[in-house]
Amino acid sequence: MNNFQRDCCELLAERFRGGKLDRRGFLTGLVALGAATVAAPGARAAGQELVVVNWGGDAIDAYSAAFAEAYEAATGNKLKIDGSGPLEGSMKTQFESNSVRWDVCDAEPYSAIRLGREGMMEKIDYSIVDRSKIEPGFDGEFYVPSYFYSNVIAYDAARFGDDVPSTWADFWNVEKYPGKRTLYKWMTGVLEAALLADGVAPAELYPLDVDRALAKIEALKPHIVSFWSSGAESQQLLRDGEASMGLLWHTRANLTKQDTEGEVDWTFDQGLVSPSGWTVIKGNPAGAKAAMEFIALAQNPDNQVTLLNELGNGPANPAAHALVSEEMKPVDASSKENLERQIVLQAEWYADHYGTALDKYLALVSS
Amino acid sequence: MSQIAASSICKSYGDFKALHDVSMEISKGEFLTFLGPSGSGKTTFLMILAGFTEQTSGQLMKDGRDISTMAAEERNFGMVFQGYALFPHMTVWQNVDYPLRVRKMGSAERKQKVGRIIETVGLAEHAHKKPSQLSGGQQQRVALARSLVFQPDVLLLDEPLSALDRNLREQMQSELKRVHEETGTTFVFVTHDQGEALAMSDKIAIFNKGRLMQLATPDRIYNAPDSRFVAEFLGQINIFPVASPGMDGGLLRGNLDGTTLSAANPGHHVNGTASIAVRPEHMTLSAERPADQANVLPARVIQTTYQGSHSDLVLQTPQGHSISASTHSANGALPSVGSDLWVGWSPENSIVIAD
Amino acid sequence: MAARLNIHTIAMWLLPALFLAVYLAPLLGVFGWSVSRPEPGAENYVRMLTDADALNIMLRTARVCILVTLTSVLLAYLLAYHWVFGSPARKLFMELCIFIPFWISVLIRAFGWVVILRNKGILNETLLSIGAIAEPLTLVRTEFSVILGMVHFLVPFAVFPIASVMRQIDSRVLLASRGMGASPGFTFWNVFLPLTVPGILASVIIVFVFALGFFITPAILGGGKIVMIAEYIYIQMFQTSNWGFGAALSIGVLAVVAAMAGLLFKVIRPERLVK
Repeated sequence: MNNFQRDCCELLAERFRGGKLDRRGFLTGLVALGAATVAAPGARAAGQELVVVNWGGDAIDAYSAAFAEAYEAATGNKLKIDGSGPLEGSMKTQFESNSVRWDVCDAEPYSAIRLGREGMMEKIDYSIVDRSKIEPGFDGEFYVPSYFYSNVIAYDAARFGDDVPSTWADFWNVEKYPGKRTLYKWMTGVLEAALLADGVAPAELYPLDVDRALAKIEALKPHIVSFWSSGAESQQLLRDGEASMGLLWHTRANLTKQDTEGEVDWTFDQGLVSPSGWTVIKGNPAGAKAAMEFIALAQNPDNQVTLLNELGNGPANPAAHALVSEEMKPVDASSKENLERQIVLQAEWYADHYGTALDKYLALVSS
Repeated sequence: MSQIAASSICKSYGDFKALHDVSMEISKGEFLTFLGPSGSGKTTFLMILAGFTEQTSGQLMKDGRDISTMAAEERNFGMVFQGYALFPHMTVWQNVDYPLRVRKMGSAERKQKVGRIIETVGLAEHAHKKPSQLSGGQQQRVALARSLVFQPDVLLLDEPLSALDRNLREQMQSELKRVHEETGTTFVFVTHDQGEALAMSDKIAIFNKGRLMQLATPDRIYNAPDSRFVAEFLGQINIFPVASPGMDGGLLRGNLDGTTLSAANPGHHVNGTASIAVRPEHMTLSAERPADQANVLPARVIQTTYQGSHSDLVLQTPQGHSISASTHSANGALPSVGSDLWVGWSPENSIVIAD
Repeated sequence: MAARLNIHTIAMWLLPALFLAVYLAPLLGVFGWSVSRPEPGAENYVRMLTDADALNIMLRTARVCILVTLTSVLLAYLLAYHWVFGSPARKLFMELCIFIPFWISVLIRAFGWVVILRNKGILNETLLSIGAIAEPLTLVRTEFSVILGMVHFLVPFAVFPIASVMRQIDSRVLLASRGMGASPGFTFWNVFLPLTVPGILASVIIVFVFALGFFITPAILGGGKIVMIAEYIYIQMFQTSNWGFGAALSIGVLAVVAAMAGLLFKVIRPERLVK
């Protein structure tokens, strides 16, 4: 479940309402996220309309008409955004019931791999999508990164003073860094964090030793105030001091830092970074070619930098990093120097083990 | 000594006065009936006796003790409600057992008492049924058994027979009488049915518009009503307003359309205007003017109704007064409609009503 | 000759047909999944009844639902009593208490409780400022706050069946009890309470079945830690694509709900509740 992307739309809408983002920036952000709705009555012929699914938001609809015209002028095609969310189960349902409604999905890479293995997803056509515009090593068989985000340590800087935490071992050290913790309910990054805290070397993380990770989490559990499931919730926990440290998406961590004027801070050190992936269900209404063309179009570095500036999402196209301003460089999750400080989540492992591991994880969470 | 003594009981609901200054005494073991039209205050007074309604003013004594403010649950009165108010979730046995459980009586004693009273009211074979499985009459008996089993000082009955059909009602009337005699408990019975009141009561209290009009034996209520309301409420009666009434040798005499009417034993002082009343069954009819009757009026037969043992007649005097009379069938053939005859009655059967 | 198809015949069969199409067919599909995915057999049901994690979640769901049901019905009983027998002013007040919550979404109510109960929330700040406590109390993100939030949502639903039964009680029956010397307490336990049992049972079943399906309130007020059966099924269906197991769990929940509904119809005759 790509909660992160849903959160981006919320962030965008919040910032727009808060006056931090002008209308143009907002729309560019939506373009980059592929998260705008074309309300185009009339023209409904198959092949002329491309449906991109993501995690939508209320504010998006209001400005979709303006965006639609611009997009149509550029491509000649109509673009319709469906905000209902490409959950793995939903994509599977559409394929199995032979009623695919979505052309391009912005989904979890491991969902794309899993469903791809079952023959439900199109292979990425690298004759249309440009491999050179993808961060090396992320040119998946069934997905292409849309942007990068990271699971980072956010902490109460006001409370910890100069000696700030920078590793997951620090995160687990409640004596040195007192206070409650918060972790992500849907597990992504959490097992890795626990194993790193337990002394596993980053290079030896995979395959993850789930039982060891869970034991480590269980030890911390009395100190965990909440397993957050929405970005806003994680932000509130840190801002109100209910948690002194948390595993947060770096976008939310950065926003909390701004809101609290630095009382809450965060670090990319040992951040657990992952892309979100464009993926295409077999039998999509507009055809695979049109879908691939959209993905290729989304590789444009300018839009990716706009997304970074407005939301903090790391560009998927390495060429974009050169366009990033000095000011935004510390927030760029996928820049070379920041990637070096982080550990990349392995989508393949998640594709194989997410279900069984999540069952165990949630059993621990709810015990 | 009276068991219950009520003095100057008043009850108001805002501006509405439901009871005006009602006083009465009830003797132990008496069967007293409250009779009156609906809204006359009879049920209100019963509820005040029971303690479910609090009087606005006035005093209530039981066996010489002031119980004016005593809670209903402490008065030890039994009550049979209109509609019976049986506990629908309990069997007949459990319903009857309830007041004994309230009194924390031992189970052996309870069993014996409940068994006996259920036997008395003839419900032994229905003891383990729920009220909904019983007929109206049977439910009535359960209500009676339940309110008598704890030997209350007084049993209050609020129109208990009104829901029953005619045959069953008569049967239950005699049963109530029997139970009253067997238990010797004071019964206070509310009804709006005059026949029921006359048939069952030792004494009747007539209520009207929140006032106690008269409290007396059925015979006196019927034959010596002391107000026009009581006279008219109970049975048929002819009432003749007489001009310039006056006493004359123990008789009250007055003038109706030139004819002098007389009544014996007026019983109370008369001044100003008065009426002389007479029940239809005390009227005698004759073709010739009778010489031996003190009170005689000419009349024409307007209508006759044959009732089996007797017949009812409607007649009219030349001055337009309507007269009701009834004659026993044994007295011979009915006069035909339109015939003129004489109606007469004795001063002893005349009732004096002060207007 | 077959009977002519008239409008009444059509109308009579429309509802069952609709029921068949809208409920029964998908239900059979779900049942089909539960015995066919990933492999044919009763494996999913075996797992449901033997898997410690699944049993834990069912146990927690049962515990939370029972606590919520008992608390809600008790509160609803008091509310219903004042609503039915109170003075006109109190009746109006009770009606506001009962109806206003219906207009507020479950999401907003859950967040409302977070605002009140969190560390820097209204309650803790107040208690701190008057010096009643030295450290903020951990009120939110606990089983307690989940139960509180669920009770708050469900109490109004529990009021109606109880109030309906209370209204049907013949007040003379209560007078009769008093007249026979029973104290108010004795009358309550022996007459009033037994007569309201059908309403209590109906409320218990309604609240319990509702509570079984709760998802948002536990997710928001439980700090992610209170996973109940509805969320667990959601996880199986959408997060881990474990459709067979999710379907088996759904059928299990449905069986519990159906059993309780059956009880409702058999024991307390629902037609009595709508008079």
